Amino acid sequence: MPCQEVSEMMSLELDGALSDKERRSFEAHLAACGECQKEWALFRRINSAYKMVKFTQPPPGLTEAVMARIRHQALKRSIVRGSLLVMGASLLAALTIGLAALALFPLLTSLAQYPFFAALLEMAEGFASVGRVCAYAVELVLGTILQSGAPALAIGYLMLAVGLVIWWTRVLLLPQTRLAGSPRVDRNQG
Amino acid sequence: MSAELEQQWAVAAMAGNEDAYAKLVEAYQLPIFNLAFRMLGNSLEAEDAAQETFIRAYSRLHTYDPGRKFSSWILSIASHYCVDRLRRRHGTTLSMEEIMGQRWIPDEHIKPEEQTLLSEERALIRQTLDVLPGPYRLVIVLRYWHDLGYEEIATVTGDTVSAVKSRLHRAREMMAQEMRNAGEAKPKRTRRIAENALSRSF
Repeated sequence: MPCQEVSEMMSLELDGALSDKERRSFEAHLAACGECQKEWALFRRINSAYKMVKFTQPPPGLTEAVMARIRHQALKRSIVRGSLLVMGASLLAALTIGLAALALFPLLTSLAQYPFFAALLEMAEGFASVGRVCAYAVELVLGTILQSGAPALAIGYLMLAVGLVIWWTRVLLLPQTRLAGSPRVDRNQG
Repeated sequence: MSAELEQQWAVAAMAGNEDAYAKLVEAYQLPIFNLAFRMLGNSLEAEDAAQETFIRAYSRLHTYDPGRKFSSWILSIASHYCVDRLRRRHGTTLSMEEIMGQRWIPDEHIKPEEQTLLSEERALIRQTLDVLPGPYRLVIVLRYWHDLGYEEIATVTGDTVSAVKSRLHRAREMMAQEMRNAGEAKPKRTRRIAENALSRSF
């Protein structure tokens, strides 16, 4: 048996992983090979020193420090999520009110002779301008694809609304939805 | 700590229970800190690495399979983090002088467990552990400090059992050579073994 093979067997023997048959061959080679005996003595010396190691106590307050960092990160995340939620809700509300104001604009114009409706018309004009901006934005993107303004607006509005609802659901139910993820271990490194 | 209790805490933590996760951190701070301490060589870095491991584990709790041992899962995160940190510490072009010249960093904050050992053993461990590149040091730490078998080490490192056997053997070979070369000006053979090992690892 070559010495390199015996060297590999030394490691297995230290871990108790040699079969009886392998151990007999190993011991037979050792008995006859001075170089391997020296190597084996070193392996055993290292093994006996390492067998004596024990755990060191971690510094106090490690758990508290970890949990404080986790809570801090959670707080930061919730602030970002909250801001995004408000921004999303504002966008959807502006689009809805603006489009409704655009639709009601002709009706209010005919009633403008009455002071109450005149005031309402002024307000509607403000919302309508928001609606126009949103409508132009959607038309600009989808209108060129669909070659028609009205369907593009409807589809764009629907996509935005559905997208926001899906996103909000994910944000609000994040811990539960993440649980459904398939279990795996990160083995990208090492 | 029983595996059942550990599993209950893990499941509760996955459902968002922070107290349950705090219990897991408390229970695992000893093995995780020790793994980081032996891998990185000083307590300040080890403490930082242990914290980072627990924070990473918390953010990846959804990837934990409650059917598996929590210890293997969290040791895996800590191991990868420490090996990566060692790699970053040395840069992509690891100099042999750094590997061979690096010695145990004396630590004033923690009295190591070697106090209970004979000074000769203590010296031997310091002398041999630091010559090992990260992936080789890792298998030695998992084998001796954590008392893991081949299969468990393979689960933690993500390697095959035969790769673990081979890595353990090469690590011991490097340590034996380091002992042989102790006192010599130029430990050529250790350098060659370490270079070969690194070319396989990095």
